[in-house]
Amino acid sequence: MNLWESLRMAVLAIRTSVLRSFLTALGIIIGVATVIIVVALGQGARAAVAQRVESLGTNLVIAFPSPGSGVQFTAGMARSLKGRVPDVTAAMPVFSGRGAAVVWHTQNTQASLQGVSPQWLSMRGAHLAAGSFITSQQLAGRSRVAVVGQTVLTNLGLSPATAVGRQIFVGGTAFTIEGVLQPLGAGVGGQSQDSIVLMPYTTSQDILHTAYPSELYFQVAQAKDAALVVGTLDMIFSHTYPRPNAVNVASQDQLLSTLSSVNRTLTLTLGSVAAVSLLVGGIGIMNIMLVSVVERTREIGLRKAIGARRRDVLRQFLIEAVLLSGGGGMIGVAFGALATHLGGLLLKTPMAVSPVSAAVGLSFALAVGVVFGMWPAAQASRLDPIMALRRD
Amino acid sequence: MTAPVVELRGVAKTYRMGSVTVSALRDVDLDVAAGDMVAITGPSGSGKSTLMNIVGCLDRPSQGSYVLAGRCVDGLADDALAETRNRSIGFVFQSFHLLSRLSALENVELPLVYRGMGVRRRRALACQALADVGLEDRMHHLPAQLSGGQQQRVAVARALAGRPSLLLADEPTGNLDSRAGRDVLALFQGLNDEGMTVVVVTHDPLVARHCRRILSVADGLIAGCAEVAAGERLLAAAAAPGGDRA
Ligand SMILES: Nc1ncnc2c1ncn2[C@@H]1O[C@H](COP(=O)(O)OP(=O)(O)OP(=O)(O)O)[C@@H](O)[C@H]1O
Ligand SMILES: [Mg+2]
Repeated sequence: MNLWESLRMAVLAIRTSVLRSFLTALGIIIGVATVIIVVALGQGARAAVAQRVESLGTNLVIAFPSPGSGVQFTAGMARSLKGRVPDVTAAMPVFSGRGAAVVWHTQNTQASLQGVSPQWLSMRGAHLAAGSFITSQQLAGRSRVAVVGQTVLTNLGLSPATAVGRQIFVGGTAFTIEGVLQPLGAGVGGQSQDSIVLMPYTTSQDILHTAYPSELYFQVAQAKDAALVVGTLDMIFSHTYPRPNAVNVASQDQLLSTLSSVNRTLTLTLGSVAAVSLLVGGIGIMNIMLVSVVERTREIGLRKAIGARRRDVLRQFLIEAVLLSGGGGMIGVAFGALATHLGGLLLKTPMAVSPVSAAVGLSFALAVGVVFGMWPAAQASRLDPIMALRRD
Repeated sequence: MTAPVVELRGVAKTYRMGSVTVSALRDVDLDVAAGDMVAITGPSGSGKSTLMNIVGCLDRPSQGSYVLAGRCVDGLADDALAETRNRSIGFVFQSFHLLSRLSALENVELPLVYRGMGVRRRRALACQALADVGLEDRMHHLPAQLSGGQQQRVAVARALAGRPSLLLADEPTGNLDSRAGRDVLALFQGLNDEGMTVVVVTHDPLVARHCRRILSVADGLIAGCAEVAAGERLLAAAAAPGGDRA
């Protein structure tokens, strides 16, 4: 009996009971689909994180006090550190605070407030949609001027063209809109960055009621200098604040690698869960194949009586198992791809099925079919034809 | 008559079940010449099926030797026995044993599939065999769409398709009414007239009368052998409605 004939027999056996075959393969279908979805999610998340970290700006190093360390930065530290650390081309303090109500006419919305310096625009790599950015004069003069994000604008019912020059109330204080930012997209944590109101950090100290910046941003000329700058800053901070790890200093690369290693661990964990479900699917196939061998004892006996050798019977049942698992694997890939696509639409992030995960899932499914189909097939091939024919 | 197709010498079959041993066959010598048609009769439990299974290479004797068509098959491994069954023996069972998912034609082709024959040749042989049993118009029917007699004729076609040197049937009419049974027997008789060696197990004396010789088995031994008179055989054939076909 050649391979083609065995394949035809197996297809016939599977076709005879489509529902049962589908249920048998369900474990494999779910397992493979899960592998595909988990990997696509992981890769999508990694890409999103990378994009958000890049959206911070270019070649940035960020320093912020560790929570609970009691360390307080001052605005002047940005300038003095820029003078002490070579390769730093720009530095600024950033004051961030709680959200505040923003009101225009009868419209109001919530926005997060940030006190920044004029370098903010270039350091963050952001662009204006209208108007101009905060100037050094406004910083020195504690001017009540604001640059607002797109979401704030929309919520207030303003458009970039009409917004500049209008007076809004931020936390009860009157501000003049100086400029409007182009959309920034999601931040590192996935939060929207467009629901934002920027003002000179000198002004913000009154509004936010804090004299201490939450972060210091440093820009380096070239990405390769970032690690050295991080090291130097670490050293300076450990002299200034002699407690261990009082200040966190991280470059964008480090931020990215920390975030994506968390991501990788998660993907790996979920992936192994999926692999276990593939194994369980294999056991399901073995179970049904064993039942099938018993049910078809007379068929096997007849085949052997008219000349089927052991390997003919073995091959027939093995192919049936592999067809079940391979078919299940294929349905699983299709199902996983569909779910990934729909998920991408739903989460509004582009997610792609990696061909590698499809190939790995499918080969795993086939291997599961071979491994778990082997025993029932061997069982069938060893049946004694007389005994098998006599069975009713 | 020419050289024997079946040559059993001192064949015994013992089943061991715990401490009890059952002797299904004890010291059987049997010769079946090419072109012979032998009926094996005997009471239930006398060892007829056991004997047939050994002759059909489905089972091995505990003792003694078996030469099939000039070739000793003692000590052949399972797969070698399977090949011997495939090439040299056609088996007809009491309960037909057709595969329900396959058409009549595909059922008849099955032994040739295991022989590794190409699709075109085996289809031609299977069609021929189905025509020989008068079922050329039922080739694409499933077993469930055929009458019992027709199913048994498909089974006979399956046994014939590979042109075996020996046709074996264990109670081939046991599940058929007398008319369908006579049809099948007439078919056997016609095949035998064309030179096929046939061995039939039966406990129906009317069936046995179609054969040339009747062996009676009792308690694991061959107890007697009787020739059937040619005239009686002709009568048996004439009594079968399908007999004019053969
Ligand atoms: N696998 C087995 N294990 C144990 N004993 C067996 C086995 N097969 C057959 N026997 C015994 O061997 C003896 C002969 O059995 P066999 O089937 O050959 O009888 P038979 O002549 O065909 O009977 P029947 O006419 O009822 O079919 C019986 O006593 C039976 O119990
Ligand atoms: Mg019997």
